Amino acid sequence: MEKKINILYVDDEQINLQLFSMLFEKKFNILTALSGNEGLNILESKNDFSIVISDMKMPEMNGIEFIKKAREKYKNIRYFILTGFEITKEISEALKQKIICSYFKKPFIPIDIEKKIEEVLYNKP
Amino acid sequence: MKSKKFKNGIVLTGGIGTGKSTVALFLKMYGYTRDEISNLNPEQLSYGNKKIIKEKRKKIVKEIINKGKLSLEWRAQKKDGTPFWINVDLKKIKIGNNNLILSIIKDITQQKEDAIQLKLYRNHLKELVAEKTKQLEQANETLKITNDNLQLQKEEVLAALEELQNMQQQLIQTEKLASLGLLAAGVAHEINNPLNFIQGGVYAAENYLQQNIETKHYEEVKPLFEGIKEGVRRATDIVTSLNQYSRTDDHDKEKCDIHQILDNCVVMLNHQIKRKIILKKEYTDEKHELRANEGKLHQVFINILQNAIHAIESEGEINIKTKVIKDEKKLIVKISDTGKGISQQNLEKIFDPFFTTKDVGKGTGLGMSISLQIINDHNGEIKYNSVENKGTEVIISLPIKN
Repeated sequence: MEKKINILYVDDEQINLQLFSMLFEKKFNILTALSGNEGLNILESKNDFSIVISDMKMPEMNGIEFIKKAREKYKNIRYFILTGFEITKEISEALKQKIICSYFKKPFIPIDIEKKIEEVLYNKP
Repeated sequence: MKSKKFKNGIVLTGGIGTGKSTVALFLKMYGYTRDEISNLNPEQLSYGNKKIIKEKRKKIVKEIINKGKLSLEWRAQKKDGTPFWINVDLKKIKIGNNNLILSIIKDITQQKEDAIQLKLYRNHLKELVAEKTKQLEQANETLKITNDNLQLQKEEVLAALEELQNMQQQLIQTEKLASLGLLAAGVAHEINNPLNFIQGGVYAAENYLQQNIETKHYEEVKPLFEGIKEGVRRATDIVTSLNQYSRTDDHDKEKCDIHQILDNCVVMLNHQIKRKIILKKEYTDEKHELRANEGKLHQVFINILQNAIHAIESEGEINIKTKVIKDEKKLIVKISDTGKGISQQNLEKIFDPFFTTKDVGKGTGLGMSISLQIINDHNGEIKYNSVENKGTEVIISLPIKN
């Protein structure tokens, strides 16, 4: 069997992190962080993430700001936003500049995220 | 004063009861002495052509003889030649055997002058009155014109006021919806997160049970999960809908193909359409350029088509027609159905947020008010015509470039 890929999920709500892990732990290896800074530390300590999914609205650093910082060092990682908001200008700008591959909306349906991740990883556009 | 009937000349005698003073007055009037005047004839005491005067005098004497008396005004002449006006009262009298004419003379120069002056005054007054009347008439005319203008202006102002009130009403409605959108965007995040807990929790719990309990037990609790998921879906729908009220900026607009948008909507709703409804399309071939937010327009037509589908209870027809009006630079999309129609009462509330005639859970009551907002943001218009039990037509016009 193929080795599970590593996914980092960043969200300032503990419940979201817990649920995300439970929903996807069978398919993927999930690591979580409560803030952008914590996320950057995790990326630093473990160097083989394929996917980063981040909440948008967080204290200190929002999702796009975190992803922009992470991208400076980790260009091969595929980044996503998972947000409770409708698409905002910042998100659509990030989509246009291909800073993020896609964005998901809360409440999410797990299979949608799963499909998108597989699509991005295996049928690179 | 008396003057005796004479052939030539004037005979002066003292006046009865007046004595010398009357004679003196008479002499003073003419400027002669008593002796001087005795040798004068009436023509010499009159002003003007003596021959004509003589003729006149003869006529007068005849008249007095006929009538017995006469009163007239006469132009007399002083010794120095100055003319003056006298009034002469003439009367035929008989003293003894002598037929005489008694004349009473009165200097009326002052009266004449006064009369002339009066006439002048009167004429001047007439002129003044005429002048003033003319001025008043002119003023009146000006006032009339001003009044007419004012009336016209009043009408214009009233019309403008009404238009302003209509616009204000529309603006209030638009602003209300926009602030609703703003509020919704603000709370959306706060609502979507807990909804995410619920939905995530349901999926996780469902996964767990699927793998850890017997299938027959799982089948029993499955409706509970479905119920929770449906609840989350509805709540999400509302939050998403409210978010749609937010403004569409110009830079969110791009070139759109209206027919592609309509076709996409039809494809999305096909599962509801195909069984009971005949769908007809009449698309225009005329070239046009529509700049719009495709996603938002899509939502408008989904809303309208969905209402049309819901209006058809058993079988019916939906017609989608597009037309270009070149002169007005407009694209018209007309969607009509043969459904149950909308009552006049409900038609008035059709754009009110949360107004719905659908069953609980079937419609948020936001579709049309969002559609109105979106069409307004595109500087377009949306109109409804409906007859109960006959059907409804929705006419949307959008500005285009030729």
